[in-house]
Amino acid sequence: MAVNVEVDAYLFPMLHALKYSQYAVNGVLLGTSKQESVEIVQAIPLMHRDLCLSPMLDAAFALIDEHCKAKSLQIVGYYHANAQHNSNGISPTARRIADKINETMKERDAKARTCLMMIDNNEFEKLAAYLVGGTSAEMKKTFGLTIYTKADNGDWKSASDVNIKGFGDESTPARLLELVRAGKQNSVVDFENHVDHHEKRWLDAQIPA
Amino acid sequence: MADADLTVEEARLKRMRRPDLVLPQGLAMLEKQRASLGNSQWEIREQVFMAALDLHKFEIARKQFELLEQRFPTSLRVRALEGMIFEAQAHHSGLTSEQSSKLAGRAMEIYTEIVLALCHELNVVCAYTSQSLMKILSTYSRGSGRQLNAYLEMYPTDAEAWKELADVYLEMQQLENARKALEEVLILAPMSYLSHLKLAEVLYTLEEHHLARSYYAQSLELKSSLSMDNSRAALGMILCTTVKLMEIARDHLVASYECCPGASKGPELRAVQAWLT
Repeated sequence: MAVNVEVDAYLFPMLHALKYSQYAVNGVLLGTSKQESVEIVQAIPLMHRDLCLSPMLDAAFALIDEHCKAKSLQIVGYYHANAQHNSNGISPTARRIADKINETMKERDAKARTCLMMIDNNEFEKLAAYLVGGTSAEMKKTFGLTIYTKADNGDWKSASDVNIKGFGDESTPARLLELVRAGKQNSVVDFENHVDHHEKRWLDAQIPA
Repeated sequence: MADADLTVEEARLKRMRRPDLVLPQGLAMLEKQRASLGNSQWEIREQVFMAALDLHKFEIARKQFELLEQRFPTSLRVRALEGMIFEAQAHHSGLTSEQSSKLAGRAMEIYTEIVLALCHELNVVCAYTSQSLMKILSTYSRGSGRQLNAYLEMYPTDAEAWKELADVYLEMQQLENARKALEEVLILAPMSYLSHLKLAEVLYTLEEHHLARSYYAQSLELKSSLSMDNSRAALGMILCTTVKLMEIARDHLVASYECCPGASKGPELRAVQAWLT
């Protein structure tokens, strides 16, 4: 099964993680689930503090659910970046939330699929190094994250067929570099930001210009 | 918030972690305006030091530390900075876990010295910082609360330390312990709407919705959403309450959107209204 990721659905999680580089961050992935693939088209940042607490998560999901109905999209996944540099596996909190999403989506539709996108700091660092001056062959395959899907036995297994738009021609990593150089990660709005400042666009936010 | 307007001073007062701005601006200030800075020069040096550590520019950090040490040779606060250099270096990539633990160990020695010398000077900085050291040594270690608990035995009225301990427990997902720590914070600081809010969130996660609701209510009373700032408590309340009480919370939330100029045009308000009616 292939997992295909749109450019913005890749950029948002990365920028969110960069904005709060000292914290863990998470968010939801929207898209559509097809027979042979999952299409991830949008990433909505959620939190950067106390990711293990439920109320903000529940509130965000309630609103995202309404938004999905309005836009004919489904929740197809969850992204998570651990706080510590050396911690790149699936943390207990990430696992718990991803499992919960998977359960909820399956209750509505037995064929629903959920992806777990874990940002990998070591891979991210490699990507950064390539961007500043490395071989492009390597860079095409270095996303800075790992996408997991649920295996039949309930384990989260690393997906083998992941395609992120714009990596083939290197346009997406170049765009990420450009955005970071301009400090645009600081304009990313997550749910917590939105709750504190309602005027900040959250559900339909665009990549900061 | 316009980036260009953020000054070094603002970043210090609001405790914002923006090393990308603080480092270049702070260094420029220290170089060009030193004469007019007077004594605030030292606070700025400390700020630049922190920013340099965040960006792993260890040479710059060390230089600021040496100047601070010269100026305040007996200060425990400055001694803690030295510990922080080792701590930051332990986080640096490309180290073996042995090299990393060695650096972390060195930082820990310095912090332990300082904690022991706490009788005369309340240097609370290092009690916090040693928590991040524990993070390096073992990610999900249960021992991480130890230093703070020891400190709190000496100074049980330090609300900030209890808050920090709660955060440590939250990170280890020990919700019951976090709850106890937050209860202590509330005993010491009963008018803090944020602490009521945080305890409410922990209680909600522990599935004690009834109790969570009363803390959300307290938080809303202390800081009403009608002035736009406490919609987080309103959201929590909505999640906890039965239909009758929900109406009160819903009105708070919708009001908080409506009194905010840009918010009524966005999809978020529509989603809120769809959800709540």
